[in-house]
Amino acid sequence: MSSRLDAPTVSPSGASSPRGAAHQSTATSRRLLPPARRSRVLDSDIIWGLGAYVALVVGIWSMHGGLTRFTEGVTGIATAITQLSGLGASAAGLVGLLFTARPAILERRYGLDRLFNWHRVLGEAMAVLVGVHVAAALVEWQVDGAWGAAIADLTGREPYMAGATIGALLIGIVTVTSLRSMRNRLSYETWYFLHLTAYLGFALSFGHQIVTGADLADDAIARWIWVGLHGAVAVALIWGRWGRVLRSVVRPLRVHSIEQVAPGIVTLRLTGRRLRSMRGSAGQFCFLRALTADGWWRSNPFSLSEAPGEDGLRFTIKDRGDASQLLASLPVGTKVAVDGPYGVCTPEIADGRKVLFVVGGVGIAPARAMLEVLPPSAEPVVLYRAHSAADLVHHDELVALAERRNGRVLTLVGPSASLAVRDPFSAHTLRQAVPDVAERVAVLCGPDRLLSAARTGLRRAGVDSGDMHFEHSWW
Amino acid sequence: MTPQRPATRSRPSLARRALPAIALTSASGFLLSVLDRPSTIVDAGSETTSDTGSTGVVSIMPASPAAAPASTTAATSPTTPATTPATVPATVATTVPETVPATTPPTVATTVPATPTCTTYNGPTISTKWGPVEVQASVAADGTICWADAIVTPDSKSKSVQINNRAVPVLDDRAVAAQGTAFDGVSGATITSNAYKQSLQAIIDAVVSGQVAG
Repeated sequence: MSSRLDAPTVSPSGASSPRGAAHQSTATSRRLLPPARRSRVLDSDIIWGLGAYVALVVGIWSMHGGLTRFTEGVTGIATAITQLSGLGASAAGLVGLLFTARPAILERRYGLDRLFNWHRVLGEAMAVLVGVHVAAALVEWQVDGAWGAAIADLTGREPYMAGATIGALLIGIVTVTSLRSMRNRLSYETWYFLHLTAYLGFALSFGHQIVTGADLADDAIARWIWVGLHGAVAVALIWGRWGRVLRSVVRPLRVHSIEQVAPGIVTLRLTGRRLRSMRGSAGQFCFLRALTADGWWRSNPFSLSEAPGEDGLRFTIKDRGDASQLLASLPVGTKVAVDGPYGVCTPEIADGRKVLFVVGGVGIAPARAMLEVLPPSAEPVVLYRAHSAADLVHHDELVALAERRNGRVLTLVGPSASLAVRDPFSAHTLRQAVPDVAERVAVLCGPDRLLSAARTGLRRAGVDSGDMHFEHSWW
Repeated sequence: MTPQRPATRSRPSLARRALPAIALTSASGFLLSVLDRPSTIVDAGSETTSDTGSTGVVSIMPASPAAAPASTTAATSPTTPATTPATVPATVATTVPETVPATTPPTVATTVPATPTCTTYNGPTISTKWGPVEVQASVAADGTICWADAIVTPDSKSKSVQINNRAVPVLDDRAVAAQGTAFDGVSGATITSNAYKQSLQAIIDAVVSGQVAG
């Protein structure tokens, strides 16, 4: 282990008293934060929980008609489908909402990107089920093709149905604006605020479930189970979302320094007393909210580019829009609310094995942070892809860190079309560059295109997909 | 891990970013106030009293054809069919429109003194999401509805029973008043109303087309 400083010390207080509690034995003079907790949840727990949940929903459905209705003609079939799709939509939505509460027990195991992707999948499933539910309900309610009357009934003549109709419309709108093509046309905050109306839609549709829904209206036990599930998710959301935001705002960090490291790329260092009570690992990311007049209402994620220590958190921020511009131009001393850190791409995944990083552009930040705390046995190799030499950030730091751990940094610079090798991440190229690639744990950071190309190449080069670690960007 | 957004030089404002969401929320609130017109069971109950003054629960009584609208039963002789003022069968309607219900009974009474032309039929059972509905109606050969009653209504749930106890008498009266199925269903009991009409219409159709013996 090197006894030298791995990263430039910034805060003199951090360097003064090394304490044994610092995680990993990197023996830097910085006092690192205790590592992020590990979750004890197992995949099998999730499968059992999910199975029980599905059984509960199907059980409620089958106790109030269920399959037997399929023998009762068109109306009966429509009734059964209405009930099941309604319960299913609500059940999927509840779990989807639970994921946005970022429960630590799941986040620490699967990562926020997975939770958000599941949130998306469940949201889409809910939208489809709501569509089925509405169509089946109309079939069920119309008598002799009196569609007008059925629509009038279901959009307001029956109690609580006006709310359910508007709830369905809101959920539809939120789903459409979350489709990739629509999503890219909206600014993040416009989309985000629109997305929040899904809560309203969900709440508006609750009344008709309890009053009109045949499964719940006449079965007190089922009703209380349903109300309990909704209440539990509401509590989780208030605690997990509002609570976290509140805590981050009440105890903000402050801008210590901002340095330009490349054109359009800065490092932002935050310090504060709250760091003494925080946990965090290299490779993670935080949501930053500048507490300024034009920044308090938006929060964006940025990767730590240095192992988090009590002397500060360093983020490497590329100019990609007004949020990053705002952060890059903050005066020293500005309060910044930090939510996090999140993410499961931490040094623990090396687990004593050799490590290969495949990174693109500013995706170098988490790799740079992890290099700092990897043991020499990791012999890290960094494949660094960038559009131009100017885009290579922290290059000298990387080389120094890698060499100290018997590793190396390989750069690949230029627009894709100009590269000598047609596919820089083909199995052949990877094996040539890194002969022992198949023995390594791979950590991938970068845009989705790079991720998919690298995953394909690594799989062909013999890397088990369980040994590839990466986090998708989810927006 | 940074947001992929096009760089905009204009300063984004919270108001502009939140505007679509606020507009959507306001539109939802407006739409809710427009759409939400739930007709509760209380409404159905009050309609019952205002329409006919009947006292809620009417027991199932296919034998007694006395369930004619209160306003006309007072004036007519007992158990006469075709006492309804509005759309009396063509033969009578030409002479007596609506104005003089008092003169109608004699004419009809003379034609049907001892043997009422009304025959009681059971309609088909219509299954709804809440349960089966079956109408029993007494109908003359020309399609005149003497009385109608739902003899089977959903009763698997206490709420259904509560609703139907109030809705069915209203439907019975409306069916006779409308002399057919062109009447408004009872709000809050839409499904039962629709099934009621369906079962009743089947009886009328069968009688008018002569499929069943008068």
